Amino acid sequence: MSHTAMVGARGGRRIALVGNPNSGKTTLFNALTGAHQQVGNWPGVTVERREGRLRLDSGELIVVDLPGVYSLLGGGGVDQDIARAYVQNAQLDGLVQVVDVGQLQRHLLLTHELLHLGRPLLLVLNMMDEARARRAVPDLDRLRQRLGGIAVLPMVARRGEGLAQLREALERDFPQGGEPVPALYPAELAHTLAQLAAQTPTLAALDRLRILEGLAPPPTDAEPHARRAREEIRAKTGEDAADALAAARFAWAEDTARAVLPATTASAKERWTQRLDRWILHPVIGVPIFLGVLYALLVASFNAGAIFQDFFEDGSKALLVHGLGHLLLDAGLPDWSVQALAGGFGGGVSIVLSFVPPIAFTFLLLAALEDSGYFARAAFVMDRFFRHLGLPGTAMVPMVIGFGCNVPAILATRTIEDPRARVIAALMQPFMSCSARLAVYLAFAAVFFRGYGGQVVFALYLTGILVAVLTAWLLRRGPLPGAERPLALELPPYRWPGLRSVALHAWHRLRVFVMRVGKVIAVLGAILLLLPGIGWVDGGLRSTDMEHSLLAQGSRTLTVVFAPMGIGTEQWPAVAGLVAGALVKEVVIGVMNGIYQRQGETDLMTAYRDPDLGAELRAALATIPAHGQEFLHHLTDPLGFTPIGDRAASAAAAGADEATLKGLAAGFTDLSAFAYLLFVLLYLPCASTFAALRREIGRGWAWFSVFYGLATAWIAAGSVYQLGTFARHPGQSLAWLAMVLALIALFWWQWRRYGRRVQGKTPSHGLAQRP
Amino acid sequence: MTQVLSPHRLSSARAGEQVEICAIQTSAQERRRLLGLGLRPGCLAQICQGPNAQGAVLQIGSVRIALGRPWLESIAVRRFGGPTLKAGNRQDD
Repeated sequence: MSHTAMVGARGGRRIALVGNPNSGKTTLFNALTGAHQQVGNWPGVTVERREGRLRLDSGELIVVDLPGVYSLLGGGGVDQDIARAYVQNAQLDGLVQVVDVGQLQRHLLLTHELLHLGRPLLLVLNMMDEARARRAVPDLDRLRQRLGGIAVLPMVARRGEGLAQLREALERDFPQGGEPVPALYPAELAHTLAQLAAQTPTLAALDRLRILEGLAPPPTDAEPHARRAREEIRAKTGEDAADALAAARFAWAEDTARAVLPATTASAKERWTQRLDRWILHPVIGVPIFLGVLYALLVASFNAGAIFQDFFEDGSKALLVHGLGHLLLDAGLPDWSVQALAGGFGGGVSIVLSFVPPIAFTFLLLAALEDSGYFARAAFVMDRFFRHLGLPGTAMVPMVIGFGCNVPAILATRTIEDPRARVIAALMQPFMSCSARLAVYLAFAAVFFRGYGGQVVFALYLTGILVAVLTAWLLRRGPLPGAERPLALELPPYRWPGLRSVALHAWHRLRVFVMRVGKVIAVLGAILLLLPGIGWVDGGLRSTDMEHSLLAQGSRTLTVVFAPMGIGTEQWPAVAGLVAGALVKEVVIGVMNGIYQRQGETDLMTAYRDPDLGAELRAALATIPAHGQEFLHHLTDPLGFTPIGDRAASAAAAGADEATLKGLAAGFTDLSAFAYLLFVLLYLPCASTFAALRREIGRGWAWFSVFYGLATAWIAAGSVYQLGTFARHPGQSLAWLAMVLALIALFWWQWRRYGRRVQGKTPSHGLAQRP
Repeated sequence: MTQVLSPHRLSSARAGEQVEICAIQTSAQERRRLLGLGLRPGCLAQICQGPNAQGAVLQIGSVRIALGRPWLESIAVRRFGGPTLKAGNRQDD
C-alpha cells in the first residue's frame, strides 16, 4: 500500500489527531496548540469539537482534536461516528495517530485500519516514560519498518517531551518511507479482498470491510460480490467473515507488537492499579468511596469557589452596573435606558461572572478526575444502580454536582456515551436543589420552620432527587425508550493529572460557559431587570417605582395562577420573585427583598449618580480573605445547612433582611410557604441552566424542561396545599385533585402512545438474556 | 497443569481464573464495541474481579476491561481450572 503525497497549500494545512480514548490525544493537542484553540460542537450534535492553530516556520497548521475512537469500522457513541466520518471524508493533509505505548497491541488495531485509508500518517507513541519505567520501550526502527516507513515519534505529551521533534516532523510533509507495507491480511484473505476491490472499485476499502462484517448494507450492485466474498472467506477459514477478518487484524497487531516489544513483567504501576482497584471497584466498599470522592469534589468546588464568588459579584457589579450606569447618565441617556443597560445588561453579565469561581473549580477538579482514570471506575461501580433508570453509572456525577449548580452538572453529562441517556441525565439536573435555591429555603426556614428547618430543607432536597428519578423513568417510557447499553469500558491505569492539561481543559470549558451562557443571561437580564423599573404610567412607558412597575402589574395578574397553592393578590412580591427567578434563582429572594423594602429604581439611580467605585472594589477584595477563613468550616457543611434554626444566621445566609422576613410572615402560612418552596424547587431551570440545556441537548428539550418543570411544580405545590387545607374546603380540594388526576391520566395516555410509537423504531443492544 | 473445561457463561467463572472467550451473543454493533476493547472470541482473559452484581473486570494483555452485568450471560467462556492470579489480587463475589 502506498501513501499519497501530502496535498494542500502551505498556509492552510490541516491535520487531525486520531486515537483510542485515553491515549493522551487531548493532552498532546493542548501541548501543541496551547491557548490558540477554538472549542465548539460538531455540526448537529453536542460532541465537543476542538480545533487549534500551530505556528510553524513553514506556516500555520490547523490541528483538529478528534473524539477518541476504537475502530474505524463501527461501535461506540455518536462521538466515535464523528471521528470515523472525519478521518475518512474530511479534507486533510495528514493524520497523527496518538498511541498509548503501554497498550501498543490494542492501539495498533486502529493503525491497521488507518493504513487502509491511504492518507499520510504519523504515529506518536505517547507515555514513553511509563514504558521506560516498565522496561517496555519498543524498537522504533523496527516498528517504522513494519508500518511501511511512516514516521514514528516517541512522546511524553504530559511533560512536553518529544514535542520539538513532532513540530519538526510537522514542518514538512509526513515522510513517505517508500518501504513496502507488510501484508495486512494473510494470503487467503488478502486474495479475496483484492478480488472484491477489483469488482467494487467505487467503494472505499473500509466500506468493503464494513459490508463484509455485516456492519453496513452493500449497495445493490455490490451485493452479489460481497456475498460471494463472504462465502469464500467462510470456505477458506471455517469462520464468519466478521470473525475471520477481526481475527486477522488481531493477529497482525499481536505479531507487530511482539516483534517490536521486549518481554516484560507487570510494572509497579500496574501492580498499584490492581491493588487500588481491589478497593475502588469493590462491590460494597466501592460505592461509599465514590460518594466520598464526589463529596470532596462538591465541597472543594463550591467552597473554594465561594471564597472568590462575592469578589466577582461585587467587583463586577461595581464596574458593570454602577460604573456603567454612571457613564451612561453622564452621557445624558434617559433613566429607563440607563436602567436597562446598566441594571439589566450589566447586571446580567455580573450574574454570569459571579458563577465563574465555583464553575471554574468544578471544571478543574472534573478535568483532574478525568485525567486520573477514576471516572471509568466510578461508572462501573454505580452502573448497577443507574441501570434501572436506563442510565449508565456516570449519570451520578452530574447529579451530585447539581447540588452546587445545575449548569456545570448539565455540562458534566458529556461524559455519558449513549446520547439518549445523556438527554435524560441532562433533563434530571434542573430538579437538583442548587445553592441558589438554598438561599430561598433559608429565608423561609427562618420564618416558618425554625424548629425543624433542617428537616424541611432536607425533604426539599430529597423531593428534587425523587422528581429527577421520576423524570428519568417517564422519559424512558415516553420519547426516549430503549434498553440501556450494557457497560463495557476500558479501565485506564491510574495517573497523576497533568497540571497544564487540566488547567487548559478547564479554561476552554469555562470560556464556552461564559460566552455562550453569558449571551442568553445578559439579554434576559435586560428584559427581567427592566420590568421592575418601568411601568405604564400616564399613557406611556416610563421609569417608575416598583409598586407601579410592569413587574408589579404583571405579578398581580399572575397571582390567580398561584391561587391553588394559597398565594393571593397581596403576595404579589412572591410571584414577582418567581418571575425574576427565571433569570437566576438567587434573585427570587433578592427581588422580594427589594419590593418589601420599597427599594428599586430610586436607590439604583442614586448608585449610578454618585458611585464610589474605589470603596466598592476594596470591599469586594476584602471578601476574599473573609471567605477564605470560612472555607475550613464549610468542609463539614458543604450544603450550608448550619444556619438553619438560627433566624439571624438564616436570614444572613439567604441575603434577606428583617423587613423581608416580616413581609413573608404576614403573607404566608406554614403550608403555603412549603408549597411555595416546592414550586421554587421544581418550576423552571434558571436562565443559565436553560442556556446550558439548549446548548447541550438542543432547543426542543430545553423548552420541554421549562414546560415540564412548570407543570410538575404547579401540580405538586397545588396538591400539597389543597391536601393540607382539605378540611377547610373539601369541595374545592376534591375538584382540584380530580382535575390533576384527569390531567395526569391524559398525559400518561398520550405519553405511552408516543413512547410505543418511538419504541418500535429503537434498536436493542441484542444481548442474550438469562434463560 | 490446568484443566480445560467446556464452554460456560461468563457468570459461572470465578475471580482469579483464566478463561478463553468462546462466543459473544450480541448485535454486530455491540460486538464491534467489544472488539475495539480487545475482547473477541479466541482471546485469553484473566478475571480480576467478579463476576458479581456489578459485572466483571477482565484483564486482556495489559488492558483492564469492565463489563456490566448484562454481559455476563451473553459471553461464553472456556474456563481453565485453578486461579492464576496471586491470592492478593483475588476478589470474591
